[in-house]
Amino acid sequence: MQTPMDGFWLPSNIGEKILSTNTQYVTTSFCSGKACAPDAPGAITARWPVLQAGEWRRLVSLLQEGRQRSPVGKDYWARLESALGEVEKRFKDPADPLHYKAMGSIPGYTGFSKPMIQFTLNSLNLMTLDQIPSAYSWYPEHTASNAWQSMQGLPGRVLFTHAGPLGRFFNQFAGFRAGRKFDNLKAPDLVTGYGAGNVPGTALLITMLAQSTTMMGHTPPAVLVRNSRREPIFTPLVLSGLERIAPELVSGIAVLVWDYTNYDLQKTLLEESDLVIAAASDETITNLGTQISEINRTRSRSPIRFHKHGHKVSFSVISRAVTQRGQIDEASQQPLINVVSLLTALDSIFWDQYGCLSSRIHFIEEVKEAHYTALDYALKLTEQLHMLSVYLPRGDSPRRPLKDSFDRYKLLESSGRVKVTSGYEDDFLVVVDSRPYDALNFNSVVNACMGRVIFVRPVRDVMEFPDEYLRMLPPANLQSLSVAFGKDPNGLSDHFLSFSKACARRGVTAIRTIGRGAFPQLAYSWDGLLPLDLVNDRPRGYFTTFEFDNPYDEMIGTYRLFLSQADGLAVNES
Amino acid sequence: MNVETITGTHLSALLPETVSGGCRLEDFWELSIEDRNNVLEQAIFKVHAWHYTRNSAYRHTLEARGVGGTITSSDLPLILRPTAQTFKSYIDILGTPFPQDCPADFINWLADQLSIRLPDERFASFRSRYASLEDLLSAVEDIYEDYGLEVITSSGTSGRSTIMLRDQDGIDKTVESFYLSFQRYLEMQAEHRAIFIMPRITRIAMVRMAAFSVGRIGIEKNRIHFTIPFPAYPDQVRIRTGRTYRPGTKGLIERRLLNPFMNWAYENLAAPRTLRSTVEILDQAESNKEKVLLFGGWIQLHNIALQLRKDKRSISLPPGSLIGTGGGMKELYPFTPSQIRGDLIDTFKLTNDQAIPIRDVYGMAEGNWAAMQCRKGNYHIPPWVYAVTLDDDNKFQEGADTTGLLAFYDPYGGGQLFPSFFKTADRVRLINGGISKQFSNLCPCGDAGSYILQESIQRVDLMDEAGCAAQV
Repeated sequence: MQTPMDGFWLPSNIGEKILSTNTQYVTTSFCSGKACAPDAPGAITARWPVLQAGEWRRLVSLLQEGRQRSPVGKDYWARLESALGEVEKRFKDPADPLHYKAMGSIPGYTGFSKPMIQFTLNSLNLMTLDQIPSAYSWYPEHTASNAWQSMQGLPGRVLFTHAGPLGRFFNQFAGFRAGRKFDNLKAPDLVTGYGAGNVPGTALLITMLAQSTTMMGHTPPAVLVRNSRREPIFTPLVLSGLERIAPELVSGIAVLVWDYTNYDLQKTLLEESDLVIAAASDETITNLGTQISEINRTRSRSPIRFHKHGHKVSFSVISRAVTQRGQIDEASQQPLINVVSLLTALDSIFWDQYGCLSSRIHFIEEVKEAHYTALDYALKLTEQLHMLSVYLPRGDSPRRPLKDSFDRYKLLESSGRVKVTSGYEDDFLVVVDSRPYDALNFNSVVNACMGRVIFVRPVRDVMEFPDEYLRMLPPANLQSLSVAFGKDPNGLSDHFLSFSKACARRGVTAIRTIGRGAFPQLAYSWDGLLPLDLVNDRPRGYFTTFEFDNPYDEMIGTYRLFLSQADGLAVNES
Repeated sequence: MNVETITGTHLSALLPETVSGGCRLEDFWELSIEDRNNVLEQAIFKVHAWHYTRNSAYRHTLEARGVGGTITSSDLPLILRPTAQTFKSYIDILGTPFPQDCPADFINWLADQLSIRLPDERFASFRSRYASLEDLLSAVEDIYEDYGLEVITSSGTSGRSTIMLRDQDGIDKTVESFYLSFQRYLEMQAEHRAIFIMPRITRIAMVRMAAFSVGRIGIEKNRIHFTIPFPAYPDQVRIRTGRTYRPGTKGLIERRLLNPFMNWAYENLAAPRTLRSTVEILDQAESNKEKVLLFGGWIQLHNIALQLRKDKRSISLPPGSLIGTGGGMKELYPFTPSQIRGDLIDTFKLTNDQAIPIRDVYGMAEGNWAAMQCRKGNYHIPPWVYAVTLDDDNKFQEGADTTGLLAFYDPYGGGQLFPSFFKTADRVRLINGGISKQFSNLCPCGDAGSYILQESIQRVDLMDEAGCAAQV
């Protein structure tokens, strides 16, 4: 049996005090993404310590001490950026033990392909940490309730949608003074996080967001994150890499595993917390919410702030402005349709479409004259997916649902409104679907789009997307939208602004250009929450952001960035 | 109607002989396991070829997978169709789970599923709409009465029924399959009194076949009882279980009025009558010292046990009597099958002081067979069915003891309307499956052949929830 990997992380000096030769460990073994026996061929085993009640309390106390050794504010953040850059270099270097540990364990444990994991480790720089200081340097004005507002120091815009019936009234009337958007500034002392394990890195994302609150000028909080059994290795590896370079950056952070059903332990930890960030199933979030509400009822200090990141779905929209025949990307001389289809393919296939950020359905504005049709686009998409099957292959998740979906939709070709452009043995499925949808059919299609199942849906106008489709989905489940829009002398056209506002009002909380769907930026909305929400109270509702000032340039820039990141990623020429 | 004149050579004439110049189902018990599997494999190839040229839906599915009319062993995984989808595909194609709203489209779909030609000149005989699914299905049987077709469905508790046809040949083979298994594994005889806690009138496949087959054993009609007094039409089941309603005003009426009324009627009228009627017949059998087969769903049987316990009594029956269960647990219920089993053993006794045998039956609408639980608790797949398990990539799993999704090929019992080659949505542990090269692990009951280990049958979620990615 291979030596177990640490599925947890404690700062070294804290680990020395908490862990001993008597510490019991729990282990779990996975192979190709499925639980297995520890001695099964290919098994990767992770372990984490079982702490007693007293040890948990001591840990929290030590984390509070440890955080006092951290730098503060911009100093912290600058050092973190630099250290993360060094860690990324180590992950890229095949001779480095960190690379070896990561590549020797994460693919086997999670079932994701080695190229997918390697690409992600090579792309830590896609998370633009230098935007975080700007995220804390301004407040949205009340006018953000009615129209897109610039984000000081950051590209893009922000819009606020009030919740509830009174909120809908607020949303409609321009100039209505909703009062100060934020008040009750309070940086947290202890942040407790819950990280889902369906894609690597959620625990790390929560940790970094929590630490970003130091931009308010306070000591970074102590952070305790519950790691996921399904992927417990990546975050500890990154933190261990950071500790080697700058231990003071991580001196108040712990990543461990405990049972959700251990209500007494959870109560102990939550009572100490000021902020809870949960990226988990809706059921877990509901249970946590109940516990937090109970604690807040009798709590003498400020109530625990609870940031929920539950189940979400994401989509892509392609406007006619980028599907005209003959359009070329000037820099690469590639037909623009090739650029578009490669980027939209990436939005769907990262993490094999098992993440909330993965685009499920590509809505394409179909104009018959002089433009590529939805079928043309689907055929191009299929070519790109074939190519990506070589460079970013699908992992070990079962093929059966893919094949069953193939059979199901192939049978529907007889209706004349459905066309399957991929083959039975392909590791993906592309379906062009023009059938009339009601809410039931549409939900069924949305749910079918996992494991590299992509639907292409023609629309007459991009506004159909928010007006006819998004209204059929629960707003709380909407998340990201990746978009492909054309050039505009103003950068952002009125058409784009109207479209994105309509999407925001339906519940979309993050708009990025195609190719960036899987790479959210910390400075922007995550499920309607800005970094400022980590330290403030505000009216009920959610923020929507888009992360660019020029969607076309951003799209082209993303294309070039991926070409440079993906060594050997060949572009399909036609 | 002479199917042969329509389809050419009768399918059964093509099948390899088993023993003594014949191919009767019971002959398979005389074959060694190796011979059985060889015969079955050859039969599968022939049945595939026969249906491939005649069955549009089957051919279309397989063509898309790159499979032609002639296959070899390596193609076997590719000719399986999913039970969860095949005879529900009308919902996707029609765009509605209510085919009674578009009979013409439904008939076209149905015609595609069959290896016989349904004369399209009769399509005009159908109305433009039917008030209920039952009316539509009855119309199909009436308009094609000369074909001897019978429409059967799944239980329909999801509100989205599997709808399939059987012809007389298929019905006969299924009845034979069930009765042979009843005799061999449940040891049923002609002297049993059979009590089915089921409606007499139903389209639910398993119920119909179980009931018809006991007649084949020789049990007289006046000793076969159906104790649910009301028919179970598909729309009634759909509305009562409350998972799928019609759109618009009709759906509102179904949800607000009919569903509560039907559930009230079931709880206050049907269930008590069923209970009374069943107990009366049991009392009669007890006093006449008759062997009984009591067959029903877990919840229905549990109601009997709870009533007997409440009355502080038990039923005492002669050895040879048994309780049969089937259908799984289709709804939430606070007791597990294991607990229900315990309550039944407490309230039903045998006169020789042994515990009454309780045997489960595993089957599905698409299968013309059922795997019955032997006295050692394992589920025996009939030897004329080639059973395997599939891994997550739909490939056959090798070995004599495999755990995966059950798939089956029924070339002899499958009938002429469609090839009975399916992959199920049930994860099982299969012993001595079709592909195994060694045949150890014989069932302790002494029966050779494929069997599913007891308590290994698990319904697999069709789509796993994965972290933050929503299922809306």
